Amino acid sequence: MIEITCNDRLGKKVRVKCNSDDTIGDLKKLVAAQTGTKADKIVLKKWYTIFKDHISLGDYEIHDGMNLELYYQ
Amino acid sequence: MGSKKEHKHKKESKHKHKRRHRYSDSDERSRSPSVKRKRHDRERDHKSRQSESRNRNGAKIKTEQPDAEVIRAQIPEVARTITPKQEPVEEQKSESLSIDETNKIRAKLGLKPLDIGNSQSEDGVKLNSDENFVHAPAEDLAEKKKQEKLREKIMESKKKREIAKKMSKVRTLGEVEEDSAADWVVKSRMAQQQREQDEKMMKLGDEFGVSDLIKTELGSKSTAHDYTERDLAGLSVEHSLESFREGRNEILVIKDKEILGSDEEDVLHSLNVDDVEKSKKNMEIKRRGVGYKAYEEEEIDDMGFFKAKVVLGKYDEEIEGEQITKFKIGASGKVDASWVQQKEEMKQEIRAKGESLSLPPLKLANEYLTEEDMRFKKRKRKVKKSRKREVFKADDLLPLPGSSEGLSNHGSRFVLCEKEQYLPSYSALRMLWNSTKPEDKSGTNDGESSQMNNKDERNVIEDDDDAINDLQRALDKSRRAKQKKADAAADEGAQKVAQHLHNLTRVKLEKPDEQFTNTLFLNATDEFCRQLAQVPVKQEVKQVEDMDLDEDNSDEDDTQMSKWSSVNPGQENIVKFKKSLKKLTKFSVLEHAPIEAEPLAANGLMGALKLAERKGYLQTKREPFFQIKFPKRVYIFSKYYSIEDKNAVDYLDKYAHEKYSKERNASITVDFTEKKDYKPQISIEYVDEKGRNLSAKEAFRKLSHRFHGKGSGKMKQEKRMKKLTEQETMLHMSSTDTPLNTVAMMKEKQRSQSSPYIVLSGAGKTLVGGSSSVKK
Repeated sequence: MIEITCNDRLGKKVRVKCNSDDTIGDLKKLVAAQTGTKADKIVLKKWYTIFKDHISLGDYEIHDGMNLELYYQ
Repeated sequence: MGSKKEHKHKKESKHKHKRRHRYSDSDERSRSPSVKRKRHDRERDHKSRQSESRNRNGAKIKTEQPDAEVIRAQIPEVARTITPKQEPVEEQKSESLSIDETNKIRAKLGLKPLDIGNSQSEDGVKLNSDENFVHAPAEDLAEKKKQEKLREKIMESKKKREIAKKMSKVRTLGEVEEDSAADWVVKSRMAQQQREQDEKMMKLGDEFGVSDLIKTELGSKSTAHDYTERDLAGLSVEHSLESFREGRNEILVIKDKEILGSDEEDVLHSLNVDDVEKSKKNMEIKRRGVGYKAYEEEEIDDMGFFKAKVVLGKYDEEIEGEQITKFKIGASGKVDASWVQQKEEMKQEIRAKGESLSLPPLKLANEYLTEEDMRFKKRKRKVKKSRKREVFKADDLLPLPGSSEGLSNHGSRFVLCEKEQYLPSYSALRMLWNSTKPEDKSGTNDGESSQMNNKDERNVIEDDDDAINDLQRALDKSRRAKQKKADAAADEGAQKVAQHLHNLTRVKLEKPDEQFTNTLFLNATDEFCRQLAQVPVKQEVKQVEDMDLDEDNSDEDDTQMSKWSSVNPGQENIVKFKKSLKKLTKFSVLEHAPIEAEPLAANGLMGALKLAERKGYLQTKREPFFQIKFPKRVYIFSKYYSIEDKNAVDYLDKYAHEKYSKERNASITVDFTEKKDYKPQISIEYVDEKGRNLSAKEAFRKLSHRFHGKGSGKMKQEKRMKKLTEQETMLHMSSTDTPLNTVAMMKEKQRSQSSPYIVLSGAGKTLVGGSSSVKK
């Protein structure tokens, strides 16, 4: 289990617990559950990389305690 | 946190000097949270407002999609329920759910629960997870080698065992001997006994006279154990059937086998045939060579299909193994070779069906024409038998030589002319053709040439190879073609000929200019001519005949022509027309030549000669063996060909002036077209008052003096005069005298003085002496 922090810099910051073999899509759903924004409206980014839904966190090398940027589309 | 602080305290005791700093640091820390908290309060307010709005949003969602997605709809609720609990978490600036809660959500989302605690510890051991990645251990080479060695050892021992097992079955030579030492004695004894018995039997047989019978019996006994053809049945021979020739014995031996080889059955082979085959194979290899051949012909298999080749031919054996041909000896020890023949026949059949795509072999092109190329392709000509005319016609008489001589006989001409109208015009047209040949200007030649034609035809058949004859053939051909046309026309009566003549003249009159010049002249004389042409032919011919009177001997004598000559002699076209007309009339006269009277031998020597000539006793003209007849050049030229008159000016041309003025200027260098061979050699000679030829220098001086109106001075003139006279004297000087004739003068003086000496005087002194004294 890892815990990831997602922050849009507009006042929303959530810490999400998830598995490293979860996909980004799953993470988005979890974030959606916590923030109340629809999952398909969420974009997760790290620097200029937009994470794709079907790829797992492990493959993106997203580890425990990492910060992801949260954007909306 | 507490433990850390304790640790810090320990550290502080050690590093006291740092303490203050630390404290200050902690002070700052203690100060900063309060500031932060204030900020947080503000934030919290903001957040609560946000959450309210969010809640409102959630409600909205709920109302909008009541049962579309249960999970989605419930999410905001969860969030709502969580938020109050998360007040302390919010202090960490971010919302976070507990594991249980997240698991609940995950369950609702259809995801597997989080792996926590014990599972994490298990995962810790898990290989290749992100946290504890462990490389696969490197290969132990030593271990590997050991294993390999062991394996080899095992294999070796296995093989050994197998061989030993095999050998155990085979009796060795020593064993055999050892085994049968006693046996052998027994056997030999038995054999000896048998032999003795046989001999006894034979002796008995001899006594009773049945030795033959016994022999056969004994023989059969022995042959029963003999090795016969039958024993060979089923054995295979390792040669192709073709290698055995009929009527030749081959000794076949059982082929050696590998000692350790697999249990193959025995195979027969012949050493001789083996050798032959080997040598054949070597030859084949030599023939084919080893390397790559780009243009090798494709091989064809037994069935006539092309063999697809993947690699070079030399690897065939390595890949497929040696190709061994075998055949089996059938039952009763015989081989049926008929199927081989059948197979061969079938192959032949298949091959015959196939069409080879191979082109004829490439040949290096020659740069030059070879002798073969240059050789004429002889067309085999059928020797046509000249059709013999059954009907005797007037023109058969025509080609008699000397027929034209009668032309001079003016008396009969009129009658002849009138007759001509009613005679078949074939001959007339024929003559028309003949007249076109260059030689045929006079009637005599005409007749001869027609004879010559016949000769030519004969020649053609006789010697084919001659290039000149080829030419002649071509000429003949064209001539005959023309004649054919004429023949066709000739079938109609004389009326038609008259019409034709009429038309001909008309056409020539109407469009004469197109043939020769591009301009059309219309003047009174032309009109006159036309009028004449339109007069019925009969009369016209008569008229022309009248004129021909004078012309028979001199063709070019146009001026002597009575009426026609008066018609604008400058007009070239009209003159030509006249000439053509003249010819026409000539033929008509010629046609009647055979009927003319023979010259009388009694008239004198001339008459006799003429007669002799006509009869053929006298040959006036030597004819070459073959004659090349070139038609008049006029006929070679195209009908529409004309020599452009460069000086002609098209006055209707708008830009004529520019065009022609330019050309005129340039045309100085243009040579005369009408006098091509006229190349005059010009040398200008200047002569002085005395008629002496001047050199270029002198001539120039004279010209320049005249031009400037000023001659050379007196002195110079005198000098030149002196020089000239000197030159002249030099020219006239005799070889035995000086230029001033001193010798002659001295002699003259001697003669006048009548003395044998002469007085040489000079510079006040006078020497007197004779010739002898002078010598002294």
